[in-house]
Amino acid sequence: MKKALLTLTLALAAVSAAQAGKLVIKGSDTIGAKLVPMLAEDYKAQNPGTTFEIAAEGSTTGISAIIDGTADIGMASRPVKQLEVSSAAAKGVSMKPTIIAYDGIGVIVNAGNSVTSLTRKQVEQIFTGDITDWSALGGSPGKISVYTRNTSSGTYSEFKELAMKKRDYAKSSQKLAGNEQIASEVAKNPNGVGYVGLAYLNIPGIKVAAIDGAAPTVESVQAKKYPYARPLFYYTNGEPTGEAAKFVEFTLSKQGQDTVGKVGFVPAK
Amino acid sequence: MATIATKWTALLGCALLGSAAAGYAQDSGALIDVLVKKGILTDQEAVDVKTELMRENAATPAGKVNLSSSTTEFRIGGDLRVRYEYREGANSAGDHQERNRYRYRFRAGFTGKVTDDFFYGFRLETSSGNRSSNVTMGDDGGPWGKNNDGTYIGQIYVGWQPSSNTTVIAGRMPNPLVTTGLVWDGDINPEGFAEQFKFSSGDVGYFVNLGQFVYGTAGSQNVFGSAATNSDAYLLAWQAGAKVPFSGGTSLQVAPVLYTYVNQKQSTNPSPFRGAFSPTSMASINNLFVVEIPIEYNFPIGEKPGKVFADFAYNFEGKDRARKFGRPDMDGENNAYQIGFQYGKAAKRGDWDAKLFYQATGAFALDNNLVDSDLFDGRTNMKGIVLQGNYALGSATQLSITVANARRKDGSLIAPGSGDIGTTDLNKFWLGQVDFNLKF
Repeated sequence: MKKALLTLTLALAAVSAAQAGKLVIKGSDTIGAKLVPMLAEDYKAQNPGTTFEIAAEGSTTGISAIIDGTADIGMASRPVKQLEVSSAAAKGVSMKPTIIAYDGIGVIVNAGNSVTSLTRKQVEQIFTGDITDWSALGGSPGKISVYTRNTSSGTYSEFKELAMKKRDYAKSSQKLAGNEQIASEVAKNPNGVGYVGLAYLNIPGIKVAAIDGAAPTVESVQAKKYPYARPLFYYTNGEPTGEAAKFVEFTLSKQGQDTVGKVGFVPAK
Repeated sequence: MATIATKWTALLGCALLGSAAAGYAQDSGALIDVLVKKGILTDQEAVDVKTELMRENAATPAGKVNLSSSTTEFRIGGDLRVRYEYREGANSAGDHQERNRYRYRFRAGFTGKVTDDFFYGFRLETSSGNRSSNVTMGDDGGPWGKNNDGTYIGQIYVGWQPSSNTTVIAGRMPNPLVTTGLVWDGDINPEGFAEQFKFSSGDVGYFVNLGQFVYGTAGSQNVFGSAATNSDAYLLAWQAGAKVPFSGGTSLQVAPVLYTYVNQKQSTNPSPFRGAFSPTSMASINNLFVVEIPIEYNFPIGEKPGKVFADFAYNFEGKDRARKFGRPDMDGENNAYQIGFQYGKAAKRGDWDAKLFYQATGAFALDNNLVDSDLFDGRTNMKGIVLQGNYALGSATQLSITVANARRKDGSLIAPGSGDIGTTDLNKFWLGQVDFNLKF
C-alpha cells in the first residue's frame, strides 16, 4: 500500500513538474516565426522537460491571449493600444511590456525592379494607393501590386503609424499572413512591393529599397536613423513569474541576444 | 548619461502628467519620446511609463468607453427646450380662438466618422410630427401620462466625403439646402439623398446642393388586380449659390434653388398629396414648380454683426394651381417673399441678437406641407411681421422670445395649411413664444 501511494505521489509530481515547465507563447509572426523557436530550442537544451506551444498569428492575437489568460507570453511587434490596456484592466490583467529586440521594417521590391530607393512620401503614396504605377517613381511602367500583412499583424499597424501617417492601405492591396509570404510574392511578381522585418530581407528574388537614403541595417536601426525602426516586445500579465520569467531572462541574456542578432534583428542589450 | 535623479524627476513628471487628466496620458507620448531622444529615459522605461499611463487612463470614465477601431471621430450632442406659447386666431366672423401651452422639446444623438471617408448621424427627437418636436405638457389623456412623450428617429443618415469639396448623404438627414422658414420649416429632416459640392475661385466661394427626397411612398406599385399603377412622389431640389466677400468684413450670399415634384399629377400617388384639391385643403402637390432665392448680406455694425436678409419664391405653375383650385382670377398669388434685418449674434454669455422681418405668402406660391409651422400657424395666404430676440445666458443656454402678427393676405381665399388654430378661415393671427434653450 505504501509503495502504491509513493508511486502515485511520484507520478503526480512528475505530471505537475511537466505542467509547470510548459510555456504558451502566442502573437507576432515577425517574432514567432524564427526568433522564438530558436530561443526555445536553446532554452530547452538548458532546461530539459520544458515544453513550448508557439503560435505566431499576429501581434493582436498575442496581446489578446495575455488579456484572456491563454498564453504566458504574448509576442508583439507593436506597442499595446489604449483599448487593449482598458480591456486588460477590466479583467484584472496588467500589461507589462519587455523590449527584447529592435527591428527595421524594410520596404522590398522585386529583384528585377529598377527602383532602388524611395522617399518617405513615396512610400506613403505607394501603400495608400496614391501612386499606382512604377513609372511615377522612375521605374518601368507597370501597375504596382501592394502586399501587406493582415490586420491582426503588429507590422500592419506599425507600418501605418510609421510610414503612412495612419492613412488606410490602398483598397487594391493584398493581405498576407506572414513576412515570408510577402517576400515570396514580391519575389515572384516584377511589379510587387511589400514590407518585411529585418530577419526576412535576405530572401532570394527581392531587394530592399533605401528610404530617404537609409537602408534597414543593424547600425541604422541602432542609431535610430532608419525611419521605420521599432522595438519588439514580450507582453506578460504583470512582472513575469515562474517559467515565463526564466524565459524572458534567457531572451535578454547574452546567449539570447546573440540569437536575436543571428536571426537578423537588432539586440535590445 | 542621465543621472538617476534626472531620470526619476522625468518619470515622476510623466506620471503626474498622466494622472492629472486622462487626456494628458495620450499627449505625454510626445514628451516621453523627447526624453528618450535626449537619453534621459531608456526605451524600456519609456514603454513602461506609456503603458502605465494607459493603465491609469483606463481607470478613468473616458478610458472605459470603447469605440470600434473603424471609428475616427465620435460626437454626442443635442438640445433641450422648454417653451411657453400663446397663439390666437380670429376668423372672418370675428370670433377668436386662443391657445396657451407649456411645451418641451428634446433632441439627442450622435455623429461619427469612420475610415474611408464615411460618416453617419443619428438623432432621437420627441414628437412624431414632421414639422415639430414639441410635446405639450399635460396633453397625455391623464395626469402626467406618457402616451405623448415618445421619442422618434429624427435623423439617421450615412454619408461619404471623399474630399472637403464633395459630400454625399443618404437617409433621413438635416436639410442640406440653404433656405429659410418661408419655404422650409427648420424642423423638417427630409428623407432621401443629397449631394453637396463646394469650390472657390479667388475669394468667392461657390456651392451646389442637390436633393432627391422621397416625398411619399405609394406602398405597392402595380397592385394585383388593379389597372392603375401607383407611384411614389419625389421632391427634387437643385441649388447653386455663391458667397462673395467684400472689404470691411461684409459679404453677400445668394443661393437660388429650384424645386420640382415627380409624380405630382398622378391621381394614385400617396394621399393626401395626390392631385386633387378640396375647398378647405391645398395639401396636394400638383402644379408646384418653385424657384426660391435666399439672399443674405452680412456687415459689421460697430463690433456686432449685422445682416439684411431676404427670400423670394415664385411658383412657375401658380396659375395652373389657382385654376385647379377653382380661382383662376387669383393666379397672381403665385409668389412669396420675406425681408428682414438682424442685429448681433447671441453666441457667448451676455450676447444678444434681435431680428425683425416681414413675410407675405401667396396662396398658390408654395408647398403648404413644408412652410414653418409656427409663423403664421403653418399657413400660406398670410402676411405679417415677426420679431425675434435671443439672449445668451451662457455659451450653452439661451433665452428666446418670438412675437408674430399676421393677417390673411387675400380675404377671398382660404388660408391653406395645417396649424394649431384649426381653421382655414383664419383672418388674423398672433403668436408669442418664450423659450429656454440648452445645448449639450
